[in-house]
Amino acid sequence: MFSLTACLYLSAFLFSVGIYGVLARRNILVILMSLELMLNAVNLALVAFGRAHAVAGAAGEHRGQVFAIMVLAVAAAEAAIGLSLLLLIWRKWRTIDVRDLCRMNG
Amino acid sequence: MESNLIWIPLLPFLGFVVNGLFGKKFGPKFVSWVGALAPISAFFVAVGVFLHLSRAQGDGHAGALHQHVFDWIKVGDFTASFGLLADNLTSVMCLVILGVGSLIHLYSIDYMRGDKGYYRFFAYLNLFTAFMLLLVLGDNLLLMFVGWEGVGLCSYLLIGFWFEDKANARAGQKAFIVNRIGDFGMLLAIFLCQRYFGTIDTRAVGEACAQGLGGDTLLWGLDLATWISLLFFVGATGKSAQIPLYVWLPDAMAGPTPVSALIHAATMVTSGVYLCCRMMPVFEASPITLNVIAAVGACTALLAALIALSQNDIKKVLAYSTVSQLGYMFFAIGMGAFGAAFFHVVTHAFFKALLFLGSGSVIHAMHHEQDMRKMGGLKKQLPFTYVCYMVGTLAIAGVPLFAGFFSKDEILFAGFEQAFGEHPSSFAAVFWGVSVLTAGLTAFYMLRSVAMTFWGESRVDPKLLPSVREPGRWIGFALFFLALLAMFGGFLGVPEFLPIPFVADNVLGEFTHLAHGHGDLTEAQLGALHSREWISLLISVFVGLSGLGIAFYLYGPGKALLAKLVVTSPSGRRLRSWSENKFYVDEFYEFFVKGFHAASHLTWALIDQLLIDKILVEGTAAFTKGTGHMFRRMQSGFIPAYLLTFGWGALVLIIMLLLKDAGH
Repeated sequence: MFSLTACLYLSAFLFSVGIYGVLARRNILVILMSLELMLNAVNLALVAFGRAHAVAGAAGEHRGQVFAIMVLAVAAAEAAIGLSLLLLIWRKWRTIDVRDLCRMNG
Repeated sequence: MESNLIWIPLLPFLGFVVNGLFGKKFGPKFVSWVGALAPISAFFVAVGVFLHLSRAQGDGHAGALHQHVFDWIKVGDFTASFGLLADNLTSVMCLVILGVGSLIHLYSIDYMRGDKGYYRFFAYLNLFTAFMLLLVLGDNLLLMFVGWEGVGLCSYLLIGFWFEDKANARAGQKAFIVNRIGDFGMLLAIFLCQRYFGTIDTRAVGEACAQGLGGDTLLWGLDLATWISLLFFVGATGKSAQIPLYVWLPDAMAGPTPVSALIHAATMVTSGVYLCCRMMPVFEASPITLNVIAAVGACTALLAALIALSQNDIKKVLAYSTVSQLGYMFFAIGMGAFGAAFFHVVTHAFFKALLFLGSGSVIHAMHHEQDMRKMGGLKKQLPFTYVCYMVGTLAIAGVPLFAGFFSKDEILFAGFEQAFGEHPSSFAAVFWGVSVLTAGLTAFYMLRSVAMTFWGESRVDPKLLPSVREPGRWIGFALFFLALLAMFGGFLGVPEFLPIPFVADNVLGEFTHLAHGHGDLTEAQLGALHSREWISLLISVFVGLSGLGIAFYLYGPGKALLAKLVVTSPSGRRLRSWSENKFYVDEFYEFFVKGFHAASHLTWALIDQLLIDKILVEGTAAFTKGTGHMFRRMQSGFIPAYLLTFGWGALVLIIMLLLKDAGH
C-alpha cells in the first residue's frame, strides 16, 4: 500500500501541525486538540514502523501496534483530565484564553 | 551521706532554673522565696556533711566524702568524671559560702526591692552560688575549672547588672577580660598535670607532688612542680585580684552591693586562696613559687592599702581593702602557713561581708549615694548600721578578740617566724615588714571611712536628710548575724599560747589539716616559739591600734589636722595624688590595652565588617537576590512560552543524540 517513507512524511506533517497549534493557538480547547493531533502523529509512526520492521511469527510481531494502543489509552486519560480542568477554569474565570491564565508568573 | 553531696550545688542551681524561667511571671514574692530558700536548704545539707565529717574526725578516721555522679569525659586514657569531693577543708568552705551566701540572699530581698531586674538578680545570684560550690567541691581540676569559669561568668553578669549604664557594662567586661588572662595560666597548669602526671584528679596530683614526682626540670631550669604551681598562681592572681591582675576588682564595685559582698569580698575572690590550699602539696613542693607568692601577696597588700588611703567612694575603700586582705592571704601561703591563709579566708568572709553590707545599708539609705564626702554624721540616722560597720572595722583592724585579730596575727606570726625564727631570712623580713606596715594602714583607712561616713558634721544634702533611715528588716537581720560572726568568728583559730577559757586551740587549722602541729618540739624550743609568738602578737596589736589612733586623731570629731598635714606639705600632696590616681596602674595598662584595642578595631573593621558582613553575608544575599531577579522573568505564567522552551530543549536533545550516532 503506502511506503514507510510516505507514512513518516504524513506523521511528521501532522506532528508539525500539532506543534504549531499548541504553540500558536490561545484557546485551551484547541491546544488540547492539537496535542491529540501530535499524539496520533506519533501513533501513525509507531504503527508504520511496526508494519515495516516486524518479522512474521517472531516474538514481538505486534509491538508497534500495541504501543500505539497504549498511547491511545494514555491520550484518552489525558484528554479526560485536560477537559475537566478546562471546565473548571471556565467556571471560575469565564475564559479559556491562555493569555489570561498567567497568574502564576514570577 | 555520700549521695547528698550533689544536692549542695544542685539546689542553688534549681533555684536559678526556676527563677530564671518563671521568676518574671510569678512576681517578686515568689522569686524571694525561691531565691533565698535555695541556698538556705543547701546550707543545711552542707551542715549535715560537716557534722558527718567532724564525727568521723572525732572517731579518729578522718576521711573525705566522695560522690561519683557520672563519667563526664572519656577520651583515650584521659578521663574526667563529674565527681564531688568533700573533705574537711571543703566542708568548711561550703559552710562559709552558703552561710554568708544565705544571709546575703536575705539581705538582697530588701536591697533589690522594686528593681525591674529583681528575678534576674536572684537567678544570677543562685547560679553564682551553684558554680562556686562546684568549684569548691569538684574532685578534679577540670570540674573545678568549670566552676572557676562559671563564677567568672556570674561575676561579669552581676557587675554589669545595671547594664543600661555603659560604665557598668564596661566594668563587667574589664573583669571578664582580666580574669581570662589568669584563666589561661590555670588551663596551662591543668594541661601540665594531665601531660606529666596523667591525671587531673586533685588528690592524685597532690600525692604525685608530695612523692616528689614534680622534681624533673621542665623549662628554664625550673622543675615541674614550680611550673604547675606558678601557673596555678597566675590563675589565682586573676580570680583573687593580685598584682598584676588586681585592676578589675575595684571596678567591679559597679555591681549591686550584695554582689560586691558575696562575690567580690566573701567567696569568689578567695577561690584563688582556696585553690592554693586544695593543691597544697604542689605548692609546698616548690620553694620558688612560695617566695614569688609571698612577694606578690605582700606587695599587693601594701599597694592596695596605699590606694585605699585616699579613696572617697565608700565601696572603693572596701574594694581596695579586699585586694589588700587577699594579698595578706597570699603572703601567708608564701610563708607556708596555709592554715593561716584559710583562716583569714573565713574571718575575712565574715567581716568583709559585714562591711560591704553595712556600706550597702548606707548607700540604700542615701538613695545610691556612694561618695563619703557627701555623708558624715550618719551615726544619728543609722545607729544600727553604724554599730555593725564599727564591728567590721574593728575586726579588720585587728583589735584583740575580734575575728580579724586572730587570723591576721597568725599570718603576721608566720612571717615573723620565717624572718626571725630559727632560720632567719632577710627576704621574709622585708615582706614581713611590708605586711606589718599594711596592717597599720588598714586600721587607718578603715577608721577614716567610718569617720567620713558616720562621724562629724553632716554633709548630706539637706533635702535628702529627712528620708535617710534604717533600711528594711532583712538588711538588719543579715547585718546582725554577720556582726556576731565578725565578733566571735576568730575563736575558730585561737593560737595555743593564748589562754582563752572555754575555747579549744586552733580548731579550724586542725580540722582542715592545713596547720602543722608543734608535736615534735622540745620544751625549750616550744618556750622560745611562744615568746616569739607573744612578740609578734604585741607588734601587730600595737601597729593596728596605732593605725586606728592616728586615724582618730586626724579624722576624729572636731579635728581638721588632715588639711594641714596633707594639703600644705608638697610631698604629702604628691603622695596623695599618686594614691588618689591609684598609682597610675590603670593608665599603664591602658597603654597595652590601646594596642590590642587598635588591633581588634582593625580586624573588626576589616574581617568582621568588610569580609564577613559585607562580602560573605550581604554578598551571598545580594547574589541570590540578583540571580533570582534575573530568572524570575522566565516564569511568565504563559503556557505556550513554557512549551516553546520545552520544545527547543527536546529538539536540542534529539540533535545531540543524532550527532552522537553519526559519530560512531
